[in-house]
Amino acid sequence: MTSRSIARQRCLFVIAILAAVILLQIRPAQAQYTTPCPAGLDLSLTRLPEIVAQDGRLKGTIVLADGPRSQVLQPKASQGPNPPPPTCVPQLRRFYQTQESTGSTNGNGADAPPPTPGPTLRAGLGDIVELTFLNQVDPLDYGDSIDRWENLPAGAAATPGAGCDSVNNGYPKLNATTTDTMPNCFHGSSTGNLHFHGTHTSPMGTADNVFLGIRPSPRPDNGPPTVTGASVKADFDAFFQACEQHLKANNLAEWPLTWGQLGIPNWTASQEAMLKAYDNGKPEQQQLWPVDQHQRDTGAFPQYYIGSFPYCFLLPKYPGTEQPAGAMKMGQAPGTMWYHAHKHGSTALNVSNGMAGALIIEDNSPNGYDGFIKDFYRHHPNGRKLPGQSEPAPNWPILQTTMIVNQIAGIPTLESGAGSQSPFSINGQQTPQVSMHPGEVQLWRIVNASTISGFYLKALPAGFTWRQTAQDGVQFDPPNFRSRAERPVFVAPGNRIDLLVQAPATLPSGSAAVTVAQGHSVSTAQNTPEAKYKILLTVALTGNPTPMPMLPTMPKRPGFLDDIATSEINSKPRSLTFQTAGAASGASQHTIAIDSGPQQKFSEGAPLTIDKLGTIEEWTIYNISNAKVDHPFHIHINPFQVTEVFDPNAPLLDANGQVRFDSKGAPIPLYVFTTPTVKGQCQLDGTRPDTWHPCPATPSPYAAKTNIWWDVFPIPDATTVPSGVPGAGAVVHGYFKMRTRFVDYNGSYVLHCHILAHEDRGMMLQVNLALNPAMAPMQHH
Amino acid sequence: MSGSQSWSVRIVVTGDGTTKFQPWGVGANPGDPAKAQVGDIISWGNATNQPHQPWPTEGNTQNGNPLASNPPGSPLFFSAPIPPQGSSTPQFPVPASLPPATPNGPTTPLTAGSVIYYCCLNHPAERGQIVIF
Repeated sequence: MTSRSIARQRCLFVIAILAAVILLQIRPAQAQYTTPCPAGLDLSLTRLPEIVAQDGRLKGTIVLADGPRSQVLQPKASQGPNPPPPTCVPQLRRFYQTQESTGSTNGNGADAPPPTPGPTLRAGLGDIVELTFLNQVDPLDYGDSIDRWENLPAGAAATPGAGCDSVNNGYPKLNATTTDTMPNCFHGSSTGNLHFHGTHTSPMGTADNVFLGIRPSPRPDNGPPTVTGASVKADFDAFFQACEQHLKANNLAEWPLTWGQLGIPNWTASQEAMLKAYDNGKPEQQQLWPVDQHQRDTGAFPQYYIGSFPYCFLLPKYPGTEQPAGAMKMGQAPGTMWYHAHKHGSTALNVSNGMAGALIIEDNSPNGYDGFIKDFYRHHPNGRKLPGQSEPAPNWPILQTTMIVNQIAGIPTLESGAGSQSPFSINGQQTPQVSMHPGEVQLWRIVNASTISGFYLKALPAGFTWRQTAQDGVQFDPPNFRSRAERPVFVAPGNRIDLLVQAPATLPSGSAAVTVAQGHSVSTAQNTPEAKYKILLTVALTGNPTPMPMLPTMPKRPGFLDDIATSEINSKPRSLTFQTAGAASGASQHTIAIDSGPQQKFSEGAPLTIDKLGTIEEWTIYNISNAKVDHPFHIHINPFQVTEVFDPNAPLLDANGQVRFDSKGAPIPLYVFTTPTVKGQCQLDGTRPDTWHPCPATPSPYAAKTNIWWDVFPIPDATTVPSGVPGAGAVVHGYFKMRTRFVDYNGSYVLHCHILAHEDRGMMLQVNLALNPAMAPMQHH
Repeated sequence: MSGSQSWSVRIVVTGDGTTKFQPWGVGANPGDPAKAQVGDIISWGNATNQPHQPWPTEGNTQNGNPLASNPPGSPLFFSAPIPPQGSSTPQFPVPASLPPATPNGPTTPLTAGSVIYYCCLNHPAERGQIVIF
C-alpha cells in the first residue's frame, strides 16, 4: 500500500470517526504519539485511594479535573518472545480525583501519571453520602461543547444538528440524509455530574439525580478555578447538617426537592449570578439560567450549576430498620456499586476518559454480606500487613482488590470514544499484575466501566479456585453460590462481579495470565476461540505460602431480596423493544419502543410512566436487531430479577456451563432451524414466532427459587433465519424477562443501553414514577 | 491500542504582550508548532480577551496572507470565530491532503514532515503551524 493510499484510508477513517464509535466497527490500528515510559515503571495493579465513611457519613470531595495522563501501552503478543519495552501515550483527559486543580492544565505530559479511576467510596448501609462535587475542568483544553440548544424558532435557525458537538465536514452529519440532533447527540462534554450506579435511593434533588449538569468553574485570566472547596465549604456544611437531620428522621424522605429547602441562599444566589454570566451573549437556545429559573419557579429542582454541587442522600438499611418504621419495601443491597459520569450527550466520552470509580456499600452485621465473609476469614487471615494500615485492608482480614475495568480511549477528547476493540485497562493500566501469596484468598470486586465491550471470563488459570459471591452489587444466596461455582460469567458494560479467588500453592512460571474474550454480545464472546482471548491481568505468586480455605457458603439474602413471586405482580405486563437501524448505511439509529408504540429516541416529553409507588411489574425486553450487539439494558434506582432469557445465537453448553465445540473447533449452536443433530439442541421454526422461546430441554439458571438480581443485563442479539429453511430472512428476536419493584422512591430517572454512545444518541427512556404532574420537567438530563 | 489522537492548542497572550498559539504537549512553548498525524483532531482554546480564528494561508506558506475563501466544510476550515475564553468549533480533523492551490490543480498529500501553516484571520501576524509526524 502506498503512503498516499494509506493517507486516504486514514482520512476516510476520520470522517467516519463517530460512526466507528456508534456502529462498533473495528477501527484500524494506527501509529500514535508515544513516549518512552519513565524508568522503573511499576506494572503492579494500582490500588485506588479510598474515601471511607465515618460515624455514619461518607464525607469527601470529588473533583472533576483534567490534565495529562499517560497510559502504558504494552507490546502486542505478536511482537514475539522478546518484545520491546512498553511505551506511554500521554493525552489530555478529564477524570475524577480528590485533589483540587491549581491552575491551567496546559503543559507538559512527559511524566504524567496513569489514567486512574476516581477514589473508591466505601460506606455502610444506613450511611448518609455527603459529597462536595467540584467541576474544575479547563474547558479551553477542548473544543466547544454546549449543554442545550432547543426551543428552536421556526425558520433558518432550525439547522439540523445545531448545538451538537461537530467535526469539520462530519459529525453530527452521519451520511447524506441523516444527522444527529439535540438532545440525542454528543454534547456537553466538559459538564459533569455523578450517577451512583446500583443505589436504591432518591433519584431527585441532591441524590442520584442524573439530570443535573454542573459546568466547569470560571477561570478568570486563564488562572485557577474560582469555585473551590473552600469557597463552598460553609454553605455545604450547613446544608449537609440539615440534610442529615431530614434523612435520619425519615429514611424515605426525598429531600431537598427545591432550592428553598437547600437553605443556602448565598450559594444559590452565586449560582444564579454565575449562570447569568455564562449565558451573557449566548443565544437563547443555549442559555441555562432560564431553565433553572423556570424549574425553580414551578417548584422543581433546578438542574444546571456551575463549579460545585452538594450531593447528599441516604443508603437505606433493610426494611425493618427504617424510620419511620414499616415504610420501606426494598432497601439498599450491600455490594460493589460504582459511580460515573452521566451527562446525557457526553456519558460515553467521559466514562471512556476514566470518569468512574467504585462505590462499595458494606453490611457488617454478623449475617450481612461483608460481616459474614469477614467473620470467616478472621479465623483464616492472610497475615498481610500493608503500609500504613493496621489490618490487611481497612477493617478487612483479607485483601480486597477493587478493579475498574475500562476501555481507556485512544482519543479521549471530543468526537470520539473508545474504539470497539480498544483494549481493557484495569485501574488505568493495561494488563496489570496482581500479587497473591500461594494459597491466599482475595476478594476481587470487579466493575466493568467499559463504554462498549463486555468480557467473558471463561475460567481462571489452572490451579486457581474461585467463587462468585455477588452480581451487580447484590449478594448471591447459598444456592447461587453453589450452582455458580467456577462457572463462566459474561460481564457486560455496567455489570459488576465479586469473586473470591484462591491462588494455587505453586505456578510453573510463578505467574499466570487471566484471559477473557472481548465482545459486544454474550454469544459472540462465548464463541470466541481461546486463541483469540486477551490478557486482562496477570497474577504473580509472591511471598510466603498462606494457605486459606475458600468460603464454604454464603449467608441467606435479606428478605427483601427474595424472589418476586408471580402473585406479587400487580400491573399488566410491559414490553420494551430495543432496535438499531441503519447500521449498513453508516447512520445507525438506536431507539426503544414501549409496548406496541413507535421506535423513538429519548425525549423528556415521552416518558415511561409508572403511576404509583408500590407497582410491581414484569417486563419482556426485546432486541430486534441482528448486529452482534447485546444492548446492555440498565435501569436506575431499583434492581431487577431475570426470570427468562432467549438468546437465539446461544451456543450449546456442557454441564459446567462451558461452550461445546465440534471436531473442527466451531461452537455448536443451541438453536437450529433444521432437525437437531446434536443432543441438547433445539429447533426453531422461522415461520412460527411461538417457537422463539428458551429451549425447554436446557436447564435455566433463571428459573431458580433464588433468582439473581441485576441492574444491567445484555438483551440477546437477534438472528436471521438462514436461507433454505422455512421463514428464511426473518429476524428472530432475542429477549429476556425481568421483574422489578417500583417502590420507596418516586421521581424521574432513566433506563438506557449501557453502550454509552447508544445512550448519548437516544437509546434511553425517562421513567416517571408517581411524579407530580405540575412539576417542570427536566431537560436532556 | 487503536485510534488516532486529539490535540489542543491554546491561544495565549505572552509576557511581551503578543498573542501566540501554544500547543499542548511535551515541553511545548508559545509559538511552537503543534504536532499531529493525519486523522488526529485539533481544537483551539482562546485564553485571551479578543476573538480569534485560525485560518489557512494562501498557498500554505509560512508568511502568506489569509486564504481568501475557506468556507465551513473546507478541508482546512479550522474553526468558526473563537470568542474570548471560548473554544473552537467544529473540531478539525487533520486531512490527508492539502486542497489544490488552483481550481484544477493537484492536491498535496500530507506526510510525515509536512507542515500546515495558518494564521489568525482577525490578526494575521499571529502565526501557527501544524507539523505532521
